[in-house]
Amino acid sequence: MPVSKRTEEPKTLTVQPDDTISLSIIIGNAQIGSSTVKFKFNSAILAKGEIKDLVIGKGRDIAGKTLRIATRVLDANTATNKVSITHHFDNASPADTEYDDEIPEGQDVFTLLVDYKLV
Amino acid sequence: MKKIIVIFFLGVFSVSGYSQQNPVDNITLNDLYIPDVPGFVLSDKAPSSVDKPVTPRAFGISMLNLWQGGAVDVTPYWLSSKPSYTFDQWVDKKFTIAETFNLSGATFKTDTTSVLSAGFRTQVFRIYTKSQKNAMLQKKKEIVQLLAPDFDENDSLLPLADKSLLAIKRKLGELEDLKTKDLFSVELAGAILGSSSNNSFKGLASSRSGIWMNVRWSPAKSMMDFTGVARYSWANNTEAKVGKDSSFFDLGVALNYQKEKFNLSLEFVSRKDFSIHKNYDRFAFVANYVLTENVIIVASVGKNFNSFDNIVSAFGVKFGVSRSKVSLSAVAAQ
Repeated sequence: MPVSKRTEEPKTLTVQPDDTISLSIIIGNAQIGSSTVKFKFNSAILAKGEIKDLVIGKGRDIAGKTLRIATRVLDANTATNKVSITHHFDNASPADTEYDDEIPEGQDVFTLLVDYKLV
Repeated sequence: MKKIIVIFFLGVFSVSGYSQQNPVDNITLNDLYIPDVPGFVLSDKAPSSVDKPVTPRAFGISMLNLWQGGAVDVTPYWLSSKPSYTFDQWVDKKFTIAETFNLSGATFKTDTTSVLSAGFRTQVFRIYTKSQKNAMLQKKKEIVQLLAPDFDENDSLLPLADKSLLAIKRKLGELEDLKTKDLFSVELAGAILGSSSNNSFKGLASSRSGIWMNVRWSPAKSMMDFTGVARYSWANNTEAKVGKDSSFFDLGVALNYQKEKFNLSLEFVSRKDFSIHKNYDRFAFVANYVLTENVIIVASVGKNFNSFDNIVSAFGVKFGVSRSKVSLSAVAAQ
């Protein structure tokens, strides 16, 4: 069961000091996915598995940090090998970032790694 | 060490009370199941290679290639990405016409004729029981746990362990199995074959066509499986006996009961021949009992299409024969 991997360039996420930022990860194309969310250079894991309305923190507390998100998607839909991962942030800009890809023929798992610099 | 399987032909006891056959008698319930690729089934030829495009651009290229002689098999709904369509929504969905609508087509050219064969198949709707939906979502959760990425102390992503990969593969197989059980579904398919005698697609005329419908109910707990099948088929100038267009309506019902070593099956097939205004029917009751791994007892009784000499009965024993060679030296060494 081979695994393909994509690493994105770091992205910037703008937050407001008084806002509480939360994250949901949507796995599209009726595939099955699992994520791990943490701050970079911090061993504590914020969440693992399916991510829905995960509170990241208050803007003033997390500004300056880098949020690291890794997502693995299993090709569970026999009708397509397309993969779509959407990171949806409440009270942050941009609110939605969509990553579309395809699991190459002969492979079954796709991995996406993204860092968000919170400013 | 179990290296050797003894091969002994013990004999077969079989009694058959009917063997008369004519072309119309050859229809069985299996013929009425929706074919995997309806676009190819009427052509009596299997294409050497089939394009399966996954993007609109690739689909366009496949369609161009099709006219040069080729084959295409595509599910248009999945040609574009569906970012908000989650697995949970798929499990919950009852009407899956769009998601499962599949088109297939093939063209063949010979020195004198051109043939175009095209078809579709779709699952009109399906209903899973609540417990089956929960079972599938539970299986998904187990996969999600195994898939979850891990980091090392340097924040680098760790690769998926081989053990996890194997476990994920096993769970995915179990999930695929769950998708086929505790399910009520209706499937529809159609196919048409056109041919021209002047080796040009311009003079194409329809020569054969068929429409299929399958209804399936397979409750998970009761060991019962019910299938209803229907097919209407039409052919132009191909019925040698009648010398004109022929059309048939076939209807079939199957009820299966399966236990660990026991399998009972009741099948009924009815055919209406519109060209000669005749009806036929056949039913059969088949029982299989697994005596040992390689020996199965089979019994069947039924009635065939003809109105005379039409009782079918058989009793027999099926033996599995090993392909392994018996090695005396291996036995001596044990």
